[in-house]
Amino acid sequence: MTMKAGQSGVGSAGLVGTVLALCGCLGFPVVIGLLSLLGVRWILQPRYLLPILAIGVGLGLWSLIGFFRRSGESLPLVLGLIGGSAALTTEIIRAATHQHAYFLGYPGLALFVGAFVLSALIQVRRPQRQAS
Amino acid sequence: MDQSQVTQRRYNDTGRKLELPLTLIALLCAAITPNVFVAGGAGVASMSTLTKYLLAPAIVIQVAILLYARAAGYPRLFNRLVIGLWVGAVATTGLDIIRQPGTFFGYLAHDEARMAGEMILMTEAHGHGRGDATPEGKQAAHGNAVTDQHAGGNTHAGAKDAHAESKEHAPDATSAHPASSEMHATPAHGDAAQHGGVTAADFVGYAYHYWNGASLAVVYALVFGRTPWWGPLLYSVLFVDTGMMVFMRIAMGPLTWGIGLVALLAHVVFGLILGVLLARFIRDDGSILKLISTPTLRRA
Repeated sequence: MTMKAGQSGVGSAGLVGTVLALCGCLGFPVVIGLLSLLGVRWILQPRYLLPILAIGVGLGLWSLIGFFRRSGESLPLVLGLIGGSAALTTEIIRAATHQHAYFLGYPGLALFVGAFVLSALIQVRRPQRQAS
Repeated sequence: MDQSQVTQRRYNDTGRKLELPLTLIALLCAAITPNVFVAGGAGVASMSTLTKYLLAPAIVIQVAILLYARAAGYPRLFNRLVIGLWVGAVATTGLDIIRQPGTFFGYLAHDEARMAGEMILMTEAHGHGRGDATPEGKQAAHGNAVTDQHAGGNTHAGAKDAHAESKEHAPDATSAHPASSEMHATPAHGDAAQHGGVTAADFVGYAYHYWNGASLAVVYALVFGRTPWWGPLLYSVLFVDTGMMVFMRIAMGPLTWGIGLVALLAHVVFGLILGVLLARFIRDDGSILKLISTPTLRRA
């Protein structure tokens, strides 16, 4: 149980880190404004954002691997892998070419978030099915 | 034979008669999607016209069949259509993980999704037809690799030049054109395209790109049903990639090793994702030929 709670916390941290980093990479005004307000807008530079994104994706995937081991459901992990890879590729493209690969970043973000939503839905529904 | 058995038999007979035609119509509609680009690129007719009179009705019919299959109780057909659509869209994101760096780093001559959007909206300012769509043709038409990079299609040298120029204009990545202002750019091929932003052609093109990936997956699901993971991989490499290469050779001129390798790798990823997910979520075995001989799966 402790292991599950720990992995859930790591997964949440990974998800939040990835979403914020990718939103910053894609130039979401809210994220940029918030970071400017806090005086840490420099963090949006690829040299800082890329490692943050990589750590976020790594933590998120670690949590999804844990979920796969516990439940045997592979779909969230597959979606997380694709979404995380798309997110990292988007940031690498930005770092190398100073251009935004929006149509890779947005689907990547959707898939990464979708993987966690799906894993949460599976977790909620499974005990209900077992009970019924 | 009591009344319920008679009713059951009647439903089954109707189902047997309808599932095969519905599958064939859905298959035809799905197959139209990639071929619109092929026909448009080869100059058979403008892609705009083909979209209006062929692709749009095909999409409507395909969605109608999907809804009818759900409502009338054809679980096999419904399962193959729905799973094919979403798995194909997910696999397209996987394909783009390889394709988009290929475009941005200059290994692919065009962003094909944007190109399709420009062809559909008839906003192709630089032309992407048979003659001038080759990398050489584009270079000659532009005479400036930096402009080429901004237009979405670039050469390797062009990418370097454009990179240098974009650095000049935006020394700090955070001060580069904010996404918000680019996202609100309305002209189809105006300032946004010039600055690498998002245009209407991008939205339309990428919608087509994703629907295309979904349609290719639907074609596989309808024809082959559930297969091992390597089935879609072979389909993607031998059928989709080879078809695309042949089409590009015919419609757009000579191919380079870069285009060939990036396209092959992208389709391997596409096929792998398709294979894993279709093998997991398609419920029934059996190809389309089995529909003729096996009892229908229509729910009474």
